[in-house]
Amino acid sequence: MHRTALLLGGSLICLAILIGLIANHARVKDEGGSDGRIMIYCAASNQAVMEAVVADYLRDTGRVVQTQYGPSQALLSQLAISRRGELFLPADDSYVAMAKEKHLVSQSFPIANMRIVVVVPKGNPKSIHRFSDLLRPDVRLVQANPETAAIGKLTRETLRISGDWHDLDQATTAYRTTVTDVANDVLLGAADAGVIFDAVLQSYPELEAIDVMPLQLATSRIEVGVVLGTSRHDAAIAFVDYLQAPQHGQQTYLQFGFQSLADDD
Amino acid sequence: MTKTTGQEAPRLAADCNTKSTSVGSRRSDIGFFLVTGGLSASFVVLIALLLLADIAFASFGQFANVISKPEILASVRLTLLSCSATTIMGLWVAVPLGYLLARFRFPGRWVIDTLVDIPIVLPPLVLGLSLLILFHLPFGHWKLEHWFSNEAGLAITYNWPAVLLAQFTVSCAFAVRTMRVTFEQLDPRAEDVARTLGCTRGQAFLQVAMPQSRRGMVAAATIAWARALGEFGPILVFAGVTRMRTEVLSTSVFLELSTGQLDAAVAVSLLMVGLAMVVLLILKVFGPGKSQ
Repeated sequence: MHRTALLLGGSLICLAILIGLIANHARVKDEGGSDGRIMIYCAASNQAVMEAVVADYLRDTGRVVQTQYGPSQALLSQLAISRRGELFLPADDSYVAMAKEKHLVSQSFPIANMRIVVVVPKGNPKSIHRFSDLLRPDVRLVQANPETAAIGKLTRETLRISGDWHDLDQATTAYRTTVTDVANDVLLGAADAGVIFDAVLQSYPELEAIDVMPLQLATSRIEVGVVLGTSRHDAAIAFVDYLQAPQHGQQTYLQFGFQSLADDD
Repeated sequence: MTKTTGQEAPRLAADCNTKSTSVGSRRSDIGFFLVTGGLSASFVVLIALLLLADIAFASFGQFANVISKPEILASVRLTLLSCSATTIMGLWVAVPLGYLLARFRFPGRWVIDTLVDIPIVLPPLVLGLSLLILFHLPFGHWKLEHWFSNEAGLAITYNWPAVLLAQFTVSCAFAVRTMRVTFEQLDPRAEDVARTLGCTRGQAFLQVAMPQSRRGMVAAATIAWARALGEFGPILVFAGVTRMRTEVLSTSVFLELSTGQLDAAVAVSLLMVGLAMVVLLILKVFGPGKSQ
């Protein structure tokens, strides 16, 4: 009994210490920033640039921005269920429009643009130069899923207009969840070509982009939406201002290969 | 393997004697070891190849760079703390629940037995989604999440408690399964004797059943810790992947992978393998009934 009681008591003490340390771990990270702390749902395609902006924002203002990354559609679903968070930044403004329709987002602000490119390993070993090359049986093509990712949706919409969607759909070896999964497949050699946003290429120096008509005409406009009814509206707007500021967020977006707002029109 | 009954034994002996001489027996032994060894090796070699491929992919310099990043160090810290905490929480639930399921027949037992297994069979992302829905489902004007954040001052979703809850939900299910099997294999007569000697049911449980189940508890702790370490889907959906806050090693791999840092992702994966091996080794060395 003595040993069992010792085991039970000891485990409770250990648990209390562990939870205390975990809570302290989170508290230390919050120091100086808990008042203005906001949460942003951010598309996977914007993850690298958002990491940099959030780090700059913490350094410049002392405010913490929590991030939740994933495919745009999945983020929209999470927002709809939880109704938590302050900002919603999908990879395409059509998702912001959907969020507005569902009364999840009150206002939105443009941030940057991205263009669709076909990505291949450096040196283009499969000699992919035009759209018809993507349909060749010896080319393993991967795309992001049109149901979950903004780029997949945009690719499908663009090619449906030109009448090429059916052929590309048939030629696609696999659909992936996010645009970064597509780039990773090409990098690892699991695919010969992939359809990604040009901005994502910044993280993959081993890959090169090929402009292919009519995909090169497709541009995604990135907007950030403010979550309806958030209690931290002012803090959210402050971060949006930072994202739109030419000397802060816009500069970082440019560095990561996005087209800035100034390039519009 | 089942025991041979008295009726089966002579038949089995006759069967074996008629079919094999001593030389033939040795040959069939070689065949036996070739087949079993070959089948076993197929899995062991596959795992070894996976690790070797990871090691070949990540350079040592890259590995050193990655594990010295403050984000990864914070992730390691939170991973070790949360896995250990959820293991203890899991054992506190798994030991009594496993005991009840193994020892007693009561109405609705099969329902509980089935419910306990749901986190094992449910796709991890669905589990995370279910946790998210549970905490944000409105009951009139009341929500579980609001109650925790307003009354208890503890926000769950996208915060550290969500990490613990997500890990606990899955790892506890595995611990319960292990403890149930442990208690089923223990002879209840020792507890019955204790009760005839004046022990209450609680005393019999604490003084007889629990000490006897120590080896099972170590096994349950091991599997719970390992499951918590590898947990990803529920954490991604329910706790988010905020760097330095809710980031654990499994989500570090996702973050590195999502930003195209494949070598960093592999380095973190190798770190996870190393950590898991160290912890499992410690449990094997210091746990009761040391295995070889």
